[in-house]
Amino acid sequence: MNRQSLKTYTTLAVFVLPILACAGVMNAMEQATDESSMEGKFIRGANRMRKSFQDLDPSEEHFIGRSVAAQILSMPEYPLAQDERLNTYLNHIGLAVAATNEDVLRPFLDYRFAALETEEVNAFACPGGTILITRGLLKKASSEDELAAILAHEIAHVTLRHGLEAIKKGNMTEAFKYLGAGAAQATMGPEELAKVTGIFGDSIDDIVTSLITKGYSREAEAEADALGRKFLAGTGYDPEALRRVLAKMGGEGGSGGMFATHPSPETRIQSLGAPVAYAEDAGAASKRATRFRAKAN
Amino acid sequence: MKHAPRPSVMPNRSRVALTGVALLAVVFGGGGFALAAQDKGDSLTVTRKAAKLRNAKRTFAPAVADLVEGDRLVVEAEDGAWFSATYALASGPVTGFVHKGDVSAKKDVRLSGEGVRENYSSSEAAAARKGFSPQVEREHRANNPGLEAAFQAVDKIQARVVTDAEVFAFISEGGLAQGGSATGGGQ
Repeated sequence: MNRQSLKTYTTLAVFVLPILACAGVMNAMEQATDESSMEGKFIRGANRMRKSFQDLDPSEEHFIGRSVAAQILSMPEYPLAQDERLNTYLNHIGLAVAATNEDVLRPFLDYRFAALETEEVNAFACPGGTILITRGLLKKASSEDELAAILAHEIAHVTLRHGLEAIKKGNMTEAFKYLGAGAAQATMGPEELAKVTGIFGDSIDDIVTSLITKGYSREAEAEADALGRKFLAGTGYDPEALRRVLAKMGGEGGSGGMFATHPSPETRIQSLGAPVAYAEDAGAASKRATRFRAKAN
Repeated sequence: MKHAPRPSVMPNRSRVALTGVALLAVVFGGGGFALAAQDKGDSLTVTRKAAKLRNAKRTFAPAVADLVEGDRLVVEAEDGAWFSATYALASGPVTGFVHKGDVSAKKDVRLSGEGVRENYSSSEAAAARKGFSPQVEREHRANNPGLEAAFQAVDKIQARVVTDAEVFAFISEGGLAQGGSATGGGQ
């Protein structure tokens, strides 16, 4: 790659990625560029991606997410924790993060958070905003800010729609044969319903496989860490809480769960780059410490 | 005349630079709301099961109208992450602020039909049933009866009621969102 090409890619990455989801802008850019030029190929590639998972509407994302969550909860190793005090606390923290950051994706229903009764260190961000966190992972947090860091990372995955990105291109292409704009004008007959339900089930399998077995890409995890840290700062939590919780995970070590599906904590810490300044309010920190002791243990 | 093909392998340094730039774009660009610029008079459709038209562009600003899936609004102006928009209440039109993430400008947006009002037209309701919809979930559940208990657990998680007032009190008590968009509001 020569210097001019790198400059072109860099310029496109800066301007194109933040507006990737803006259909009108992307279509206009597609029309304005030559198909054979580097810019044209880049924009057409981005548009093809939008026409796959990005084109799902919020209610569709919601129903996909419900089935992903159900499939995870159907596994005997992930029982729902019946700890009302903890689940309420998780919902308060997570909804505070979602409410105080205007660029958090706003799902069909509000975000909901629930603990799983297992020592495995793991968390699952289902499309549409249902977020499941294991006891094992919650134990890595020593403060409310660190707990918020875990939840903010998962909210970032939902916002960046990484779950939907895991749907295999073939399944998405097949789905859009039936769910295209023109086809939205009529109800489905039995045959079509069976076909769409089959594609729906395959898409759920793709996402669950990604969440439980394969994990997201290293880049996706770095994006979720970076955006999660931004969300923490937006809510007034210490953005460096994420680094602390990752350091604890790295120091204590472990296997399976997040240790198998995520980059190592050391790699994630490296990707975070330089620490972000935070002016702690001692009075507020003390109040958060009190409620963390009362509700998270 | 054909040009010699360019080498397709990107040098490591360039790849690192691109990944870094992409991360910066994600961090500074966010990604939550996906609407292109809209003009005054354009129509918006509520895509969440429930949303609020507020009297100021703040998350916890008082609501001037309760909105549900399928409700239509008319754009007055754009303002950052918000639209100033008008909604036709039975008592007359009311103007307020709706978050861009609560609405879509797409004419063929797929709705679940679960949150829509009773007077939503039958043709629109029919369109609503197309796509990954409640009908598809029902069929998926019928095909996978072993998931039924897990779906009930999901229903329980999603049915949890957490009010704006609760979240606002939690934020205030913890000294959070200093100067953020959530401060200075009520219900």
